[in-house]
Amino acid sequence: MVYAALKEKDGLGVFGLVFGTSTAFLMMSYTVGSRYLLTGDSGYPVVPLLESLGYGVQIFALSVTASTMILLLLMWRGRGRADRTLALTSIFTIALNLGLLVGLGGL
Amino acid sequence: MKRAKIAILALFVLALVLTVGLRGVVNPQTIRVVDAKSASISYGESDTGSTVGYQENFTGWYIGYESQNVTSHIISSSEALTIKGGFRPTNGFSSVAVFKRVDIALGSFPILAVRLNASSGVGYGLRFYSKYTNGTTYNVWWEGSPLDHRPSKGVETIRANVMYQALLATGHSVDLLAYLEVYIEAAPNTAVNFALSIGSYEFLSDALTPLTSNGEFRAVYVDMGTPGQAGESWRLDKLHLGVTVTASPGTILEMFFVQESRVYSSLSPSTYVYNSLNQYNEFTFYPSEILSTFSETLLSSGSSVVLIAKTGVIQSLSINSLNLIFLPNLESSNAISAQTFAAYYAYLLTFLFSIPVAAALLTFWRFFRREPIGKAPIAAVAAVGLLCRIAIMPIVAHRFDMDVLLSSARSWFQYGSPSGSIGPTLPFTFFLYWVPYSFYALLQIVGFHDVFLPTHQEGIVEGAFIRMFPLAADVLVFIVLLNVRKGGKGLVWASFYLLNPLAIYISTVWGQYDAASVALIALGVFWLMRGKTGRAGIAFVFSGMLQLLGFIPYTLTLLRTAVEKKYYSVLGLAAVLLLVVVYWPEMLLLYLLVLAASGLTETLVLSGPGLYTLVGNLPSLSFLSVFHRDSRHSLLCKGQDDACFDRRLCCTKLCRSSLIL
Repeated sequence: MVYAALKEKDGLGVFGLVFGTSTAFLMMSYTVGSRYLLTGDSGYPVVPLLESLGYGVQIFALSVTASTMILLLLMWRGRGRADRTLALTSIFTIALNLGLLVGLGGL
Repeated sequence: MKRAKIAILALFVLALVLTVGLRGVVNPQTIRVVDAKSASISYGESDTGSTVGYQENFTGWYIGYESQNVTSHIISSSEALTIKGGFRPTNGFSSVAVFKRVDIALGSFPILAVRLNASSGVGYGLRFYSKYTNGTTYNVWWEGSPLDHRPSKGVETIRANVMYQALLATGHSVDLLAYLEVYIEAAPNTAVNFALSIGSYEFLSDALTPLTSNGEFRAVYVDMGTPGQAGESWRLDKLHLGVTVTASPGTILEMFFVQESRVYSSLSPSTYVYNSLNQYNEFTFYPSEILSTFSETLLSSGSSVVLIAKTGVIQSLSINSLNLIFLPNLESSNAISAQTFAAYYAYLLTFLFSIPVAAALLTFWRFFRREPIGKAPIAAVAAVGLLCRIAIMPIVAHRFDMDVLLSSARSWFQYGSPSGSIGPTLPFTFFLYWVPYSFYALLQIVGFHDVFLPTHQEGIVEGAFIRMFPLAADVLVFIVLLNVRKGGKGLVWASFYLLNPLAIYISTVWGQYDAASVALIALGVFWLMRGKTGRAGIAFVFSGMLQLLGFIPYTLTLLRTAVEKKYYSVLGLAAVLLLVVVYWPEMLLLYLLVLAASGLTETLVLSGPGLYTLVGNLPSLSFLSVFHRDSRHSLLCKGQDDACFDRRLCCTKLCRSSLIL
């Protein structure tokens, strides 16, 4: 965010919100599970449909790696229109995560 | 504005005074710290002093069971016992088992040492039987024990304390073994010829001698007697051992905790490869009972820490510190209904995602293209960001890390001891958690009683104070971003940080301090832009004292200043580094972290496996471990992770270490 502000990379700046939202959700769901955060107990997941999917950690790792690559791309060429970048990267991230949840997780 | 700055500074100074002044003043209520060093006695188990109580002569074995699709026979000699044969394909599992009647005094010779060679494509297992006084035979094994259903790996040496296995299998001690069994098995539809050859099968005992001088030891025991039996309402959260070890080069050491014949391994891996660069070690041990093999002698009573050399030998060991830390037992979450969980989850999603993201997008839409902005939108964004954090504080926490933070603050204010502050988190970081927590300590002194929700280790108010440091760091990043870029865009970037679910998750849900190092680096960059190199250097060094990351911009700044031939500035920047050596434990842990990060030492405690990285998840990328020895542990840890959620927590914790590095 600091780099985006300093170098006027608006595309990079807006992607920060997309990246953070996606990563936080996957981290909550697949690295520890929301039940663990709520009770400290790793038993049954609160949302089994989502949190009991197979390859959860792999989904997290792949999604964050892909998002990081976009981040690096935007660090290089992130001077485009902020609103368009926000829309495009949001659509891409949602599609990527859905693809991983269905393709890898078997949703 | 100036008044506000003075007020914040005064508050900070007051908190510093309270932090130092209230050391050990709070009546111990929520933590028990037991110093076990003074009562401990160390013993060594010699690498060469085993007494053989039973040595197999390979006579008397007979085939006791054989599936219909198996043909097998036994070849006995004075050198070895070989079971040979073949499996024909069938629908189910098939096996052949050989037995021998024995009379082994297990109580006197508890250690089994076996050397065998099994051909590929089959599995095998070792089982034992004993007899009740009325002559009835009973099993001294259980289905799925570590000595059961073992895949063949060619030549293997097995060493296991069968007394401990017997205890796990039967729930009581077993003094005598009446039968031995060795079996070979094959999966359904397998056609394979097999041969299992046992070259040595012994029961041993190893004498423990007081550890007085240098020697060659397979294991070292630190007998603590029976320290800190804190009662039913307390649980042993962790054990902290500071120890100076010398061992043969490349020795792999593993730590266990033994209490009343029960063996515990640690949730966080406690294996490391000895390196003479790193003779002093700090182990943090989170006890979790193991159901695998334990290879050494068990002390008959009390509690002990056991350091085992899995390869090589331990030459000497001296204890620098040994503390047991107990936390209150928590209620089970089973009493909470599914509807309540659903409500908690919806509440969490609302304040972690929906409201902050909506507010961030609204800020983007309204202010991105606007140049002059008043103070009102800044205050509004700050208010939403703080309210979202405060709203979720009482209901969520990363339990493992929250316990680490609470242990640190509670042991300082209730016992006056920094022993609860355990690496890889650096001492300076823990200190910054204590600073705002000091106000909570003050509240406790004046008689405030907090409210504890079921399953939560921290009280509601306590939870807010322990997270105050990362929360303040978030606000600092927000302020820096507002100053880096003025106008609407500055507000948008600042709001995209403060209202970012990832920032809220890390500081408030997880309670971590990443924002502090980020804030200090950002502040350093901001000062560099204004030509204030000295201030920038101080910010970078403080950042590095929280996480090593901060030393990267510091080094770059130092190099740039040197290239520009500003020698006085270089001297000034180098002098800033003296801040690191003010407190010796900080310096020591930084040294250990640098060794681990650079790959010079190999320790799972201080170097992070990449469980949540691609390298850690895809074995096909394991070749990358060539570049850093510790990355191989990611794959190791992953294997454990799939089987055990507790391990996942340990790996989560270690992942934190990797983030630090």
